[in-house]
Amino acid sequence: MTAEILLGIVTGLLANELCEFGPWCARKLVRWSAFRRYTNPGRAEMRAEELTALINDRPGNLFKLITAVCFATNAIIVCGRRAIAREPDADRGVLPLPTGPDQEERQRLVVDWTRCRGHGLCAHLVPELMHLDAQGYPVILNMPVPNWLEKDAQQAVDMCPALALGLSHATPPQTALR
Amino acid sequence: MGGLVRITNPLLDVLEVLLQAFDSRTADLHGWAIMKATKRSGPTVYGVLDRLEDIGWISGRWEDENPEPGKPRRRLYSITPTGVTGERGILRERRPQALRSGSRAPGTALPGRHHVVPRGGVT
Repeated sequence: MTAEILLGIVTGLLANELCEFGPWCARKLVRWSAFRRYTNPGRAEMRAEELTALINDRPGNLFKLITAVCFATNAIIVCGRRAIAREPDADRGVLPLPTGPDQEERQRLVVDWTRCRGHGLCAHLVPELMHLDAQGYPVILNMPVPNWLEKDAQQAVDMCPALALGLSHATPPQTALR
Repeated sequence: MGGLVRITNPLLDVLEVLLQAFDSRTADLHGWAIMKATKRSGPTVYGVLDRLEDIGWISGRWEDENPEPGKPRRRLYSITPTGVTGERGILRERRPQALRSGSRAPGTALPGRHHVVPRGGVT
C-alpha cells in the first residue's frame, strides 16, 4: 500500500519534471534561433530575451515547443540563404584566369604571305585570334596568343595546308597585321 | 513607399492589428498578442516586425515588468507618429474594408483575400 502511494508520488513528480522539460527546451531553442537568425548582436540579444518571454506567454507545453521549432527552422533557412548569398560574393570579380608568361614573352601568330593561298583553315581553328577578309585571306588580330589558346594556335600552325602559318616571339611589323 | 520593399499579406495583417490597437488606444501589443490576432506563425510575424522597425514605422519598448510576478518582461510594440500616415495609406489602398469596419478581426480572411491582394506588392 505504501509502495503504491510512493510510486504514485514519484510518477507524479517525474511527469511534472518531464512537462517542464518541454518549455525549457523551447526557451533554449528560441534563444539559439535568435542568435542564428540575426547578424546584429544587439538585435539578436533583444530578440532572444523577447522570444523567451513569448514562449512563456504561449499556452500549452506542446505548442510552446512547436512554436520554438518554427523559429529554429526559420533561423536555419535564413542562415542558409545568407551563406549561399555570401559565397559567390567572395569570388566576385576574380575570374580564375590562368596565369602565364608576360605579354612580351608570349608568341604571336604570323603569316608567311609568300606561301598563304587563302585556304582559310586557320580562321576556323582559332577564330579568337584571326578572321578572314573579303578575299578569304587571314587577318590576324594584333594580340599575343593567350596561353589557353596556345594549343589551338599550335594546331592551326601544324594544319596549315600551305605551311604559311607560324608562331613567333618577335613583334611583327605593323603592315603584316593589316 | 517609405522603404517597404514588399507588401505581403502578413504585413497587412500586422499593420491592421497594430492600427486597431492604436485607434482604440488599448495597451501596446506584445509579440504573442500579435501572433494570436493575426493567426500567423512566429517567424512570419517577427519578420514583419523587423521590417517595420527598420523603417521606423513601429517602435518597441520593454515593459517595466511582467504583470505576472516572476515571468520575463515582454517587448511591446506600437505605431510611431511617422508610421501612421504611411500605414493608413497602404491599408486604404490594399484593404479598404479593414479601415471601414475596424471591428473585423484581422487574420479572419475576407473572401478571396489572396486574390484581392497580389503577392509581391508595390515597390
